[in-house]
Amino acid sequence: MYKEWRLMFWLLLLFVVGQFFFMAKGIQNVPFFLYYMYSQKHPPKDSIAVYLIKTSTGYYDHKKLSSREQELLMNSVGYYVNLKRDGDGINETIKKRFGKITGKGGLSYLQEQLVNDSSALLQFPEWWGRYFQTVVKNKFDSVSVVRSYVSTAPPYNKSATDSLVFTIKLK
Amino acid sequence: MARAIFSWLFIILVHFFFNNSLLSQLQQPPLIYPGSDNSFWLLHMLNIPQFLLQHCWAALIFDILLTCSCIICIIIPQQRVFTWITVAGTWILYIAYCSAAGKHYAQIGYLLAPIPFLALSMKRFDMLWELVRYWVCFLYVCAGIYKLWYGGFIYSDNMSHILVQDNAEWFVFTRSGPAYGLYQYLVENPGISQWFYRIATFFDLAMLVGFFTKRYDKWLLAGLVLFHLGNFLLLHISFVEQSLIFAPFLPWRRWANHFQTNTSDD
Repeated sequence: MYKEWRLMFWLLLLFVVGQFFFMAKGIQNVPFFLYYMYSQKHPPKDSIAVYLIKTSTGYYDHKKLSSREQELLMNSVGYYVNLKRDGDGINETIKKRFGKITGKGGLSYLQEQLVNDSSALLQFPEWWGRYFQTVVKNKFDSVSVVRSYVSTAPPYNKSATDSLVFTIKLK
Repeated sequence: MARAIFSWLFIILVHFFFNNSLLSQLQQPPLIYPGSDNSFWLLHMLNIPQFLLQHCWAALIFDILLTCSCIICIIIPQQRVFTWITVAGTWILYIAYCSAAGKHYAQIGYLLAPIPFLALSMKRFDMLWELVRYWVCFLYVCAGIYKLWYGGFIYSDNMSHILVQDNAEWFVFTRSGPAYGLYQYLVENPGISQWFYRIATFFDLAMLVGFFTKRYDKWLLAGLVLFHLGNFLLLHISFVEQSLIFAPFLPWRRWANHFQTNTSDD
């Protein structure tokens, strides 16, 4: 390849170095993908936290939706809950990475582009309701997203109590 | 071959459309997730994903441009402008979607396979196609090594705990049936379920053979398909968008020779 396509040779070398660098650091940076999914030990737990959609007719079976729809609908809820509870940790990362090399204006710009602020968090339930209405064929007046627990012992019962994440009126 | 790959990519985009996951269908999600990925950071600093996600008209133009570019790549595979647009578009789609969903997904087959078609000559295309094949082999060998390195392979109850964790929501809605029976059996028999994990690790590590010879590509392909089928059946992990990683292991040259022979016979 060095003789046939020198530029690609050097790009490839750079890619290989980059790939091993990010593997050593343990951080994925597109296009340096790290395929370490499910590689760690998964310790036993008494119960697993789950997010469910509660409607007037019971829990909506979101597992019937496609993977892509489930990812956007339910994974985003977990992210939203973590943001509300812990804040957007990316602020600290911005200061750590750029604090010494950029001024207040630069940091402020980066925070504006990379951080989820309070208004984004406020808009989340409304957005969720809109997307839910898009993917679900049944029309509900309002739904609640709740957090519950499923026992890891058979018959894998759900806990009787749910804690409310948010309720959204759809009509 | 370009027509086949871009038709495959077009089918994936149609799958996204029917599953409400093209950017214009996401209903303007307010949250973003750059994570700690520098490439995500760069794109977010340029305001590209946010602009597309927040402006329905921009997302619609983007989706139409991406889809039409893909179609043009099928109809006129020799051109390069729309190939560049398609490749860039799929990467932007991936980053924007992951940001909106709050997780950086590993389903990247549709990002990798179209890249070699950017080459301007057959020789360079062949080199890039080989590199994509090695890239796929590398990712899966690493997956196998990670399973050994981080201890998932030797922890005898690992698969059992993974099955419970990933099927917890599913158990809320499904309380009987053959699938429920299967999951229950595997969870209650961790020794047996861990064999699935070990077989998956074997399939991952077997991709090492792909670095040295193409003689066993059909077996590597079978291993990849079985690996992803297993993920789908046991962990509900779809592999539609990942499916293009199978492409470098298909016998394109043999099919092309066969097709040419049949055509010349006619």
